[in-house]
Amino acid sequence: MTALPTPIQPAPPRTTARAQSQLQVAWGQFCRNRLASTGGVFIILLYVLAIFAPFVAPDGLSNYSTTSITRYHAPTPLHFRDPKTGAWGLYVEKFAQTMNPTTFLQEFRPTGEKCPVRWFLPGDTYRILGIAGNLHLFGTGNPNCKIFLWGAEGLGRDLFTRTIYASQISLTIGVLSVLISTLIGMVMGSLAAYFRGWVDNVINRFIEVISAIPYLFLLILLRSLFPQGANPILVLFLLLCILAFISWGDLARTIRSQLLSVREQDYVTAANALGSSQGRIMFRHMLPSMTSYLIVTLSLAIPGTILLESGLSFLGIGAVEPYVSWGTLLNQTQDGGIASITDRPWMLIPGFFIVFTVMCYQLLGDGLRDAFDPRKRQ
Amino acid sequence: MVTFLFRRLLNLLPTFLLATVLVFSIIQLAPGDFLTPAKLNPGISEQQLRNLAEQFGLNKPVWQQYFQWLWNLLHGNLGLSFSYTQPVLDVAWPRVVNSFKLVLVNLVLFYAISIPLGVYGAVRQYSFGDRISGVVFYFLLGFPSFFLALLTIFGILKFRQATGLNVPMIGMTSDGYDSLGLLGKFWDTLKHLLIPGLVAAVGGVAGFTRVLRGQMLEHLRSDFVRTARSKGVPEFWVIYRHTFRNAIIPFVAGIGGLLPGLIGGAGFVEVVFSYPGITPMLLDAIGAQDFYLVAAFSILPMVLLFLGNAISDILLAVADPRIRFN
Amino acid sequence: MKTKPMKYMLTLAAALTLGGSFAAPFVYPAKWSADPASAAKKGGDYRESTISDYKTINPFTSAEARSIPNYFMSLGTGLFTQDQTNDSFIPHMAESMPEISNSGKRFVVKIRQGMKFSDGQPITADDWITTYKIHTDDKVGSNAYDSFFINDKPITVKKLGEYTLQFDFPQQSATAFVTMNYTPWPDHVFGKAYTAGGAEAVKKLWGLNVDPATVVTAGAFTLQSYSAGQRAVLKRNPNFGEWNKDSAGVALPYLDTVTLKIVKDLNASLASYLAGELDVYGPRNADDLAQITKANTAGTLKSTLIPNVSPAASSQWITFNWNKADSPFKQKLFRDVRFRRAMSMVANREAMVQLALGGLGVPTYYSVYPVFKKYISDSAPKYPYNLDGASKLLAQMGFTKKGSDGILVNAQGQKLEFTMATNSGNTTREQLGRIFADEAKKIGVKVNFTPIDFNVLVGQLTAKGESRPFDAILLGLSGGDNIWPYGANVVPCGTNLHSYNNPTNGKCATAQEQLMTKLFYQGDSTVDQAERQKIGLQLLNTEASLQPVIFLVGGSYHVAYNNRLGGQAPRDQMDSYYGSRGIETTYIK
Repeated sequence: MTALPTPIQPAPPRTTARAQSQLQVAWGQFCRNRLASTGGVFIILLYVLAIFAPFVAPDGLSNYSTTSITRYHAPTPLHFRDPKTGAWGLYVEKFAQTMNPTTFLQEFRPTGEKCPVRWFLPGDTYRILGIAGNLHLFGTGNPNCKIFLWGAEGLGRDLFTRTIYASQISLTIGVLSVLISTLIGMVMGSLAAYFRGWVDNVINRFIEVISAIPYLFLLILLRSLFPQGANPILVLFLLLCILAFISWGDLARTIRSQLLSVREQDYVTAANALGSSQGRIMFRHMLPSMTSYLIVTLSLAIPGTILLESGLSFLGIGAVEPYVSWGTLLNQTQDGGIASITDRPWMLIPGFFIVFTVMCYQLLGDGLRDAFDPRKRQ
Repeated sequence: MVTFLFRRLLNLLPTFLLATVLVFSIIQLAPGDFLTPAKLNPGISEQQLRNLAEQFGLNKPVWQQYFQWLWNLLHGNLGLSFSYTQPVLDVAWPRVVNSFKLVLVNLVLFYAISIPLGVYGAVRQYSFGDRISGVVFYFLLGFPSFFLALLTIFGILKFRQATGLNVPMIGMTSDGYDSLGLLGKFWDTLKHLLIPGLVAAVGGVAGFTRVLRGQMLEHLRSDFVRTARSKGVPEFWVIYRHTFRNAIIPFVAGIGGLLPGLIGGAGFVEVVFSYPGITPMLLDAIGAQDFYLVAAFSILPMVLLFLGNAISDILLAVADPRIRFN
Repeated sequence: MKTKPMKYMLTLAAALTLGGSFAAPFVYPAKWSADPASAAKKGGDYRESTISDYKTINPFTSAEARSIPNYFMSLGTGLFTQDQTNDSFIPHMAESMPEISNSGKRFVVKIRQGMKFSDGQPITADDWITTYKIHTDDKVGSNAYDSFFINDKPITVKKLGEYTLQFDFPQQSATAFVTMNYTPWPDHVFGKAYTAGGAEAVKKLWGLNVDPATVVTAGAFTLQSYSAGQRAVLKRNPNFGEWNKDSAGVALPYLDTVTLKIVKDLNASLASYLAGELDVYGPRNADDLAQITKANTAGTLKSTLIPNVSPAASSQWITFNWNKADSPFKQKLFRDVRFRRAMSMVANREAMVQLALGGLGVPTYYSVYPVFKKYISDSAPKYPYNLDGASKLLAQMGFTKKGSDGILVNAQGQKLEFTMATNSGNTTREQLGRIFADEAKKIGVKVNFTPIDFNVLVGQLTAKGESRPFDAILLGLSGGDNIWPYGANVVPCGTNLHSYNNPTNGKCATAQEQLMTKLFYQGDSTVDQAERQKIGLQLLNTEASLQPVIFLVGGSYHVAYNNRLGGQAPRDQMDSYYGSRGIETTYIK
């Protein structure tokens, strides 16, 4: 990784003359930024999709057949009209798999059987937000003639189903750990900046100590220390939280150095002279100057954990079976190497979900920063 | 300043000790040891395993191992690598140098791309180019580096098959490297570094560019720039002398933090490109539980971080006279 | 690997060359190579890749089977070598087959005269003696240490003359020739250091930063250069060609250099092969085969691909833990042969081959690798995929009804549920386990399948005691030889890979285990091959009916090489055990 850029200097807060609140102004600014609001809309769409994943997915997460093999099944084309009868109606064809003995490629040939696509049909049971259901948006209702919108993966499970199920984990697992590390970093940084002296010293030394922790090793180690029966997704979540507990150092250092210069600003000196308590100065005067910086940090850090999770999957310690995240799916693609790109390009889709999500988060964060920064108002 | 540096050094000692204890105990906490894989070898007897354990000191109590390691460390001896049966420094040093080369190329490319883009974005704010570069680099930012590396290798392979041009695909040098002249060696290595360096760099470009752009904008609107313009200073001069140099100050202060990064290697990019840097060796060392090698890769960046942070503090004081060392 | 049979370097003519101080050179007969010797050209560079960095050039501290000193610098060394057409041993650095006395325990070997190390020093009995001494010094920690002991009793090597050695074995040994086959390292380098500074001095020699000029070998190649983490280059040992010729009388090896590239990632290795930067590549699966075929067809690569040469010399299996004092229910369950047979019937091996191996592999039922055909009999019991049969066996054990969650329970209300682990990061094994767990679910057996860290897994597997920390483990083994294909630390009770039953006292729990232990030692000390095969089949039968370990599937071995190479073995001599070519007789067209 290249060095992280030093963030912008926080803007000294300015009181707005109009009756509009700071938030209202920012919101107005944000809405005017088309790129950023598009990013925001997509993020919301992704989260909605994640919540309703079991309903949108035509299949269950781990369904595959050991008799009719659908390993790396190509995406099934959707037909709107039966060429023989001329009847209209959405259907897919059933395919049979063979391995071509000369090219060593899996080949799927239509068997001639047609499976009409149905809407709102019953299928695998699931729970959404605690409510049980078995209705699926679309599907064929025939387990031997599935609709593979985005093809199938290594065991023949539907990749579309798995990708949107994976969004549930990928979009949520990192958020809390980011909040934890941001909170710790903020508190530690402000303490160091405000009290200075030995507090500053101790915190700084502590940051140096924890930065020495071989975190890659720590993660691999911790993963192996959890009991085997433990829920793997809980373990992954705890791993990320532990990582949060040791990764607030950079943030704290930046906040400290920025607050150090804010501390010398006139309005803080004034507040001091007026006899404000230390706590009040810190929370009323100094910390608010960091708002825009924190928003940017969060918008960088949340997609950061999505990437981190994919990195953990690359090492084999991300979300494991029976759970699935974009990182795990991407790792399957990575394992397949060049074959994944040439022989089954649909396996790249989960990777592009990562790319797309990170991009949307970035655009959103960028827009928010501009919106909060009075000097960048249009 | 001198007393400040002296205090820094004095502070360093307990920090350093605490960090070594932490590193050592985390490594020791790991289940199994270097000999665990050997246990799965159908040909190694228990007597043999005991011999090896004794040879590597794995049968001693942990605290004894720690103090021996610390004692050696203070003498500049980082211990013996189990799997290489050689001093850790001899084993790790070539990899550190290799990673350093890659990171150097990576940084040069990084700044060569992001500084002009940042400046352009500020000067031509909200222009078509500004928006496009923003979207493109945010797009690249989302790629996990190993995935981008795989796509790149595939691209190079296709390019080579199509054109027959010998574009380096993986590794750090070509086969006939040893027989090349000094200039040839330099060029050969550089050729191999450019693509992995670029792949490792593009991920960070977006962030830096946006921040630099913000800084530039802030200064472009300030009074002294307006004064300079009204004096008739050429636009180029305004941008580079008055604005850019001011905008870059915070990054200069952050340079100290780059030090550990310089030897930290380029991460998974090294693995996918089969580059002989730190990361592949570290992953192997973790897998093989080669304790002292892992410890060295943790201690070395720590020492550099100490140095880097001290440099940062000093630079910050130089750049911002309001901060005093007291 | 305990034993390391030499590859492709033998000649019947050599066996007939007897006596005389002017030993005639070895002649590699044409039948060992698919190409005639007259087609061979001298010179050129042979390029292959490895996925793990080389650790040392020192043969006494090197641990990996295919390391530089243990493999590449040992090419063409050894007193005897194995003939891959009939698996028998014939003399190589020995002048003739040994004189055997003391009821098959003493071997007197005459060494071929006139052989020289790469630095020109003669190779004599002292070199073998010194090498033996250093390997058996426990302070050195050599990986070959164990091969000089049989049941903890040492094998001794004595010098009878400048060119005569005497080996004394504590008992008859089927693998005596493999044991005697170790590579001699120069006494004038290692012997000198050993006398002066003992084990420590030996260990300090020939690290990776060694000056290549000081590296001395008896083999076909010696070190030219090593660059950290990138590549090692070996060059021809000119003195090797004085006593090794091809059938046209040309000195071997043909190659000038061998370049070994260190590539961390196998996909990068494949890309390199496809780009023509590597001469050989070991295709792992159908994907690799498809990529190579595609490049060959498109004409962007000129290479030869031989798919499905033989089954791989490795196994994948599930073992159940018999030592679970902490859970009497599970202990009783895992010790019940009906349960293990039922689990074998749950393993849908056909689906595993299709889904996890992409159709390129075979179902396996026995511990002997399918490539060792001589030791496999299809008459041995096997329990193929049959869910109904499995349900019936489980019903016999009292698991007749399913609970509300679909899991079988017995009369006492105990659920049929266990945990199965494998090492994380191995896609194939994760898929095998997934398929097993999903099939088991169909008949109401709940398998909690989790991939965990490799070191933890091995720690659990090799744990000793009355309650060992696992239920079931899915793992694989490789290594071993075709002389006696049963592992010395796998079959006998109390050894560390006797994975299903390993109590503190190391005692067998069943009569079958005792019989297997007895048969193992009996076979190990039987020199006659036909007799040994008979014992092997008896062992196979006992093991298969006990089903202590459930074997799943075996992959296939494929060969791919660039068409600029010549001198590979004829197709019918290639397999996963012997490989596809001898580097000594490989040439660049």
